Amino acid sequence: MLLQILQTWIDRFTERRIRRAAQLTSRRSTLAKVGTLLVGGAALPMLPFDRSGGVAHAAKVSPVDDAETCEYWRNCALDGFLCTCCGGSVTSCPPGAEASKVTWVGTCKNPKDGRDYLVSYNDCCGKVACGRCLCNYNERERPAYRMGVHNDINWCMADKQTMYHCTVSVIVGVANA
Amino acid sequence: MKAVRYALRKGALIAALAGLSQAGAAFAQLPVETLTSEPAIKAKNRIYIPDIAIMHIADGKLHVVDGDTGKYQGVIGTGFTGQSKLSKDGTEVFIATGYYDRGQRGNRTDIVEVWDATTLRFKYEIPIGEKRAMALNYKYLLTQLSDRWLIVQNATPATSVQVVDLAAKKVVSEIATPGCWAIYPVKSNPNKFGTLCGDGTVQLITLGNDGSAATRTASEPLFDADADALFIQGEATGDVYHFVSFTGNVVSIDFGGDKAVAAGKWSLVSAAERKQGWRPGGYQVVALHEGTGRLYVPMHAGGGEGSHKNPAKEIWGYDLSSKKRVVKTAGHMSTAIGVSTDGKKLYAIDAEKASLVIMDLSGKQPKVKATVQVGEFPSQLEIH
Repeated sequence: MLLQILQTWIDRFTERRIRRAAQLTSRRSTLAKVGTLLVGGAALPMLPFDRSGGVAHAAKVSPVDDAETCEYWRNCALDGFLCTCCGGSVTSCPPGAEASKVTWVGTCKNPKDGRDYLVSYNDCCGKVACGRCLCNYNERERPAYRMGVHNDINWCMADKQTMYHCTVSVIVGVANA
Repeated sequence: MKAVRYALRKGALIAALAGLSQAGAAFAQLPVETLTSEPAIKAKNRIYIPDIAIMHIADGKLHVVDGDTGKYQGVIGTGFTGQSKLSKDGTEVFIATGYYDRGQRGNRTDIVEVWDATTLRFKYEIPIGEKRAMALNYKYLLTQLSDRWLIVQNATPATSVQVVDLAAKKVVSEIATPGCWAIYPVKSNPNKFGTLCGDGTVQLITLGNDGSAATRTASEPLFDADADALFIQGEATGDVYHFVSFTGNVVSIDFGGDKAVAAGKWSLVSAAERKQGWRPGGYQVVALHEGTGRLYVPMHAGGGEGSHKNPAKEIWGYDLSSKKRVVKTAGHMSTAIGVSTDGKKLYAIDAEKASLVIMDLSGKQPKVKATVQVGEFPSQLEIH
């Protein structure tokens, strides 16, 4: 009986170790794609820089052109989950989520045409946090005494269902056009 | 081959463990145990660490850690973008938060919860309005002025504050503060608070007995939100608040008079350091010990527009009276820092590892005493 228990315990332990290793490997590659960090088993968000080293994109498009990376040019002041990674796009909320009624507008330079575009960072609302592609860039962002250029707040705040799901980056004009 | 080796190793391990269990028979049987709950936190000096838990944002947390050893003490749930504040006497924790009755959806309730700071048990709640700011955890978005007044920051996104009467256990007024943010208590007057405004002015508001704004003044412009914005979090010596700016200046403002007035401005960085892009960064960027006049700031190099939330490469310490740098130490990737009430310990939240770093300040330079992993996204710390 004791031997049987030990056998089961050791098998479980081995299995757990293998499962954990698999989890770490798959998470690591996902994390390389989104440019967040994995430390001690927790994905740590909100660091305003990329640690992916560009590995996941070396053979594909440059991150600055890839709307599923934090480095995508429109995301220069986006703080939150990219809707592009959550079932939506840069201009659409994922299924079942509603676009926020209020928003703020950042200014990002498109490296392709050199123009400064006004980018509306609407949040998508009414569902649990998407939890994918968490970014934190802050160009021309300011504390909330300049609420119109602030990103440490839930822009679903004026909606009936205010749960924060993810953030889009819609072009709404050209700066100084 | 590998499989055979593994089976052999497993067999050997089972045999060894079976042997151990037989040897164990010689020990006395363990007594039957009784399950209890810890009655209260044991640590005398505690750090309360809010965590927005963005991956599951409806379910934020307030972690409590022993400020001397780093040992984890317990937790309080803070709901959806809850802000927390220790009461002035340190016996209670206020949490301004909200909940949906179906978790992610349904009917919304916004409240100030009052918890016991030592037993971590819920005491009572006060209903508040739905304008409560759903913001990342920052100091001064929930401020206790006195035994009676607790002030809650609102954003719809139009900004205002709700005044909670703690004696009557209800919201008694809303005060519009358009273009302004955060609630700074003024030590010399328990009915007065200040707020920073986007046009560079500071407003001072004094409450009447009914909780409305009895007086309100606006200062001259004291900072430039475009060229050199002030971080929201600062610390006070008496009624004088010391803020730091995005480009590395200390801007001191006296909140004590009828109007807020400038009380000194100086640079944290030399001309050469400024050129190298050394700047303050993070969410809680000023740690001040009033007694010794030591002021600490988390600094990063290579900064520029948009780097104001970058984690620290180094933490720099200054003597506030001489304005000279006296400490330069590792940054621990910190985005929030604080000093113990006795001035002997420096605390830093490591944003990369989601850890609290405890540094001993008794020597010439800070020395790491303990590091403890805390939560998922700690961005603030409050010292008990």
